[in-house]
Amino acid sequence: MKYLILISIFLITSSCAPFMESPFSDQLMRPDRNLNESSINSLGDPNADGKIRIAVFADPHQNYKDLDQIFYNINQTTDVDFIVGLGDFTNSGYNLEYDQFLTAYSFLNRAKFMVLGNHDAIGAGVDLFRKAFGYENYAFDTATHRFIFFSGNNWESPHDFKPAWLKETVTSSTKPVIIFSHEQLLDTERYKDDVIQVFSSIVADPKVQLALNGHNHVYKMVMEGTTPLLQVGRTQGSHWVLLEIQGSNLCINRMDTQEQDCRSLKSYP
Amino acid sequence: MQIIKVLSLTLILAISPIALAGQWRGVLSRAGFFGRVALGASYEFTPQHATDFLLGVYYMGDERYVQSNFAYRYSRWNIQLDEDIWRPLQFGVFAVHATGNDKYFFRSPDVYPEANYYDATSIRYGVEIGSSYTWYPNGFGLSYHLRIFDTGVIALFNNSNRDLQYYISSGLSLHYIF
Repeated sequence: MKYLILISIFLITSSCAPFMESPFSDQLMRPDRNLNESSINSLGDPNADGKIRIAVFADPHQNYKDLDQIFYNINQTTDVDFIVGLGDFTNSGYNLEYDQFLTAYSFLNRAKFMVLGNHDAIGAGVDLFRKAFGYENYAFDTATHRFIFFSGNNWESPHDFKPAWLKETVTSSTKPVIIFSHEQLLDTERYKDDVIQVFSSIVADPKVQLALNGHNHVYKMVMEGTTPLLQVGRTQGSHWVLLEIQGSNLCINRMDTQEQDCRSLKSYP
Repeated sequence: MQIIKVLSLTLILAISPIALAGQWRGVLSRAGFFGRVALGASYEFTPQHATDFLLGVYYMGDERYVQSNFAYRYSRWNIQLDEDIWRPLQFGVFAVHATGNDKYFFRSPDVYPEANYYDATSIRYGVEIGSSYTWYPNGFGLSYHLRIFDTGVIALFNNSNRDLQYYISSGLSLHYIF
């Protein structure tokens, strides 16, 4: 009887564990690849009904339960055109953390675009991000906007930190631009000298209607000149944000407090 | 530095009077966070207490790296089945260390504002349970271990026991008594 109990304990506890080789490798257990590109291809025209609705969450690292709840809420929200994750899906950029996030991510039922966070970019993190989601700097155009996703991880991944690419991608747009990055572009602790000058000029560009970031874990809305800089708080409780863009009007809906902040965006052209 | 400490500890244990009374095993391991494959030695002070030190291989792209793995294991039950020994349920702690790979660090490198800007990434700790069977008189054995990292334990605690399947790994090892 004693042996039977011991065997039972052992079998129950070991029945669902995968054979993970090493936390330090760039191997993913999940088969998901090029997810951002797949979302671009499946997006369609988010402004088809005259209003673009974007669900945004940030910094879910370690808060898997809250992330599940928020993803459930986003799935239940009608008319969301696409979803943006503002980075820090992992704590240390380990493959097992990426796998765990990808499992939660797979339940989202809309087009979704992920940004590389600073925590995602340490260790093998950049390679793992590329493997699952594709390049860390990318952009796409819809009928009305250019959406830019930028990796601002100058310390963690200096080879992939490309302010000139961001500048060029903004400058070459013939449409209003919305920028998503993990760190705020005007973070003066992180960005200095030439870099902060480039980012300041980007934020001041008449095409840039809105720039969003995560990273600091608290919700904050500030105006830099006429450009709103929206910082989305950490994935905790039911905090996520639903943006509604209609022409040059923006409404920011905080889903945890149910507060709504509406304002006018710069018009372009 | 860390690997030198682990090697020193293993050496001290190996040459101590208690160690001389114990039993050595060669170990070949697969997965369980110890690397694609890992090779090393296990030393049993007594049938209840053992330590393992193994060097494992992992890949980043086409490049191969080595990680060092250390484990202490307690076997409460040693069951004699004819000549063989079955340890149905073992408990242990383990540590894995990324060796010679500057992408991982113990203290955050100088580029960051503070040495503890990030938690250490080059070393991870955890706990394990397992089971082991050794055939006598040939001395071959087979073990299964289920390991979870410290971060996994914390994540489980913070997430009301949500299923965190990738924080847990199965590992198999083949061993031989010298």
